[in-house]
Amino acid sequence: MRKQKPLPGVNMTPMIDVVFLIIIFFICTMDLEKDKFDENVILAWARSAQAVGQEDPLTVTVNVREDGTIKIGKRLMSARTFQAIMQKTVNRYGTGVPVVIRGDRLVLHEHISRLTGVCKSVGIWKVKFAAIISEGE
Amino acid sequence: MGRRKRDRKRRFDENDGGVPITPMIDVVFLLLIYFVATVEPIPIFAHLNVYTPSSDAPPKEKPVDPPSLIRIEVHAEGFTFDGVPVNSRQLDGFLGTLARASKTQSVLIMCSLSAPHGQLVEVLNYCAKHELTNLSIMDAK
Repeated sequence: MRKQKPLPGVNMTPMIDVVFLIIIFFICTMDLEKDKFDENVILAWARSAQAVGQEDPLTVTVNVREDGTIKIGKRLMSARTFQAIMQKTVNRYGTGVPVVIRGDRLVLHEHISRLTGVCKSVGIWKVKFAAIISEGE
Repeated sequence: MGRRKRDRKRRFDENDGGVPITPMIDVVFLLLIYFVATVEPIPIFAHLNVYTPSSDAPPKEKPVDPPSLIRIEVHAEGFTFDGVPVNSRQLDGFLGTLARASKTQSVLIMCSLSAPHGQLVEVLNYCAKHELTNLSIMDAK
């Protein structure tokens, strides 16, 4: 009995192995914190500011839209709710929790001031304003 | 002898199918992973520190000579530098001159509630540009 010859062609198995490894790699390294950026907020430019480095994992990022709406993550909230959240955060983690305010460049300072006032009232002293430093790629 | 020759010929024919590309793809993907893992993204966002003066801070027992305070007002229409209306370029120049004299100079930024946030960020950006770090932000009526 004659042995059958294998069909000619590229061996796909190792390639599929590697492709699956790459998929797993990208899933693991995917930025799951994308939700904390509100796409409706257009930040002001600050070309001379210090670029964001290693961020404290406890950082609370607050988005303030042009109309003054406050948003943390996917949730819209009032200033009072924001105060309650910050109070709970301080009770749990202390006053060293950094707060980054991502204010729209056109939002009135009145709305931003309300947030800094809340931070101050609960004892948070690490408040930062987010801005764009470059256009990226 | 003739049979051995035939066998060698057949083996040569079987291996003549082309270059094996599987190891090459393996290496290419490994290189791809290496470059993706080691790439350093261009920084897009920046953070500007905010200092709000507190009225209930305990006073120092022996205050050293306090530096004179420079006051910048931010309005919806523009800026004032120690009461003098200035445009962005002039403000940049004044802060540059100030920083050359002393980078620890205290700067009080008074922002009007009706001013857009971008104006305040612009002032903070100029302060960051000239490495002025002793800043305080207050609300102006």
